[in-house]
Amino acid sequence: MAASPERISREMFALMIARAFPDLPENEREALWRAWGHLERWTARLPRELPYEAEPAHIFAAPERRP
Amino acid sequence: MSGPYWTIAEASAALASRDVSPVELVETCLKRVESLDPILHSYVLTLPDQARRAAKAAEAEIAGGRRKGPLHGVPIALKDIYETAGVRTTGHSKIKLDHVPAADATTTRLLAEAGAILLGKLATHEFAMGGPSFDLPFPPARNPWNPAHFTGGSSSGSGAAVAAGLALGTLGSDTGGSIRLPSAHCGLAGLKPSYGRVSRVGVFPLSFSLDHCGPMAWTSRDCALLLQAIAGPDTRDPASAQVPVPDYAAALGGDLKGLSVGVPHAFFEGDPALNPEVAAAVAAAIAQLRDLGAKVEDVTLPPLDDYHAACTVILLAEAFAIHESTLKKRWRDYGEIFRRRILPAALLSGADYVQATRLRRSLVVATDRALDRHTVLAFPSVVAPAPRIEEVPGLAFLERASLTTPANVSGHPALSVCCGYTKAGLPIGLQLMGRRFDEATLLKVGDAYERATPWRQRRPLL
Repeated sequence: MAASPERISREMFALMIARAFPDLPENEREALWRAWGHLERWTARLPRELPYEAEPAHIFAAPERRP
Repeated sequence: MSGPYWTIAEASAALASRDVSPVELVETCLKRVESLDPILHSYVLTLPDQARRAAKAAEAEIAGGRRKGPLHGVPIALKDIYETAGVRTTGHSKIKLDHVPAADATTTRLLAEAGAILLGKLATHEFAMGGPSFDLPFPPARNPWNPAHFTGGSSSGSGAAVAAGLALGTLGSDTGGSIRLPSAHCGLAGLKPSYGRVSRVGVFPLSFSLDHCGPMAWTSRDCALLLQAIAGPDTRDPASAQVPVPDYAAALGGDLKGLSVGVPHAFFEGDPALNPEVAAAVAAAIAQLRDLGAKVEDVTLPPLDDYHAACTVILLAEAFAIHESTLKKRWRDYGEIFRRRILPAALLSGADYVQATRLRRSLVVATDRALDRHTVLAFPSVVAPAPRIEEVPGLAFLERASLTTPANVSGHPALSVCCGYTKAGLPIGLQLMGRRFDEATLLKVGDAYERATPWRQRRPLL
């Protein structure tokens, strides 16, 4: 039987955290999982299929900038 | 002057006419700090000896006809992310508890050159991003209107100190609202200038492309006086703009005839979180702008959640890049709220960050278009009055969109002014957002509104 999306997400999260912060205790991981759930809501709003002309905003793009 | 409270403009006039001396002003503030700050916790460090020496020097200079300008002899204080040569600058964090900078931030230096007197360093949320935490080296600042309540953040001490008369003006920093939120909750005027208007050199960064430095004071006029001293290009700041700095105080006065105010109702109407007292106060404030001569119209902007999504992803990705190395070595030394908010950024992808900056570009264009049609935009600074400090959500901006993030994403200037008080006596903020590098018009609107309404006559009962 295929794993649920929730379970896959959780396993991916566990792997990524183990890589970034291997000594993070279990209670911190739980809190981080909840915080990540909120952040995912915002990343889900990001456009994923923009035309290639849609360049990023650049700090130095404005004419008055003199880097 | 009312009671122990001075505005910068009042103090400046009295200093110029020698009706008050810098020594008297500094002593007044230091006495209030001594008596009130054990409750308010707005300062993390006071500099009484240094301030008294500077006040005596200023007194002699003014008496000798060498007055430097409107800030000469005016007591101010700085959020503790502004570097101060030889004076500990901690970011309100254990991580930087022993950090003593060798040089001043550009803004610190400019204020000193203008003759302002530094009283001390002010509480902040940890590195300008944590919340009101109780596990840091210093306690969180308290709201002078009711010390059981939150100041707003992250420039928490900057808000509390001005509202309580513990400094006449302060500098805060604003990455997602950190000048405007405490200004709204503490009843001040607080200006996030245009991106590139004020140097960020020597100020601990949170997010390179969203950080802004700016003034917080009792009135828009006072903000104009502070901005005058700190605005302008800085070759050491890669985001600094080569744009002429106008005379901000000269732009104040008069009514608002000929100005167009756009109201993005969709940002806040229908939001169940919008407090009815805030809604009523902001509606009355917008009506007041109309009475002052402005034309008021509805304006459509992209959804607030789009601005907030771009801001949150960019902010967290950039902040994580700054703190990543230290987080990996010393994560236990950061406060719990900071950790909770920043660690999820470890899971963002490079593509997430780039998509957020692509979304940002479209939001900048849409905001510029709205401000081509309108001189300023007006909407609430925050949806509700300050909550009790223990009720502040730990994840804050991760949980819901904030009305302050659009101006960080777009880089336009935005000012919060006090537009009334709740029945419980807590301040309410009106946000005004202006055209790029047109802080002068924003301050003119804020000043006209403040002169036409009674809100600047009321101070906290301390």
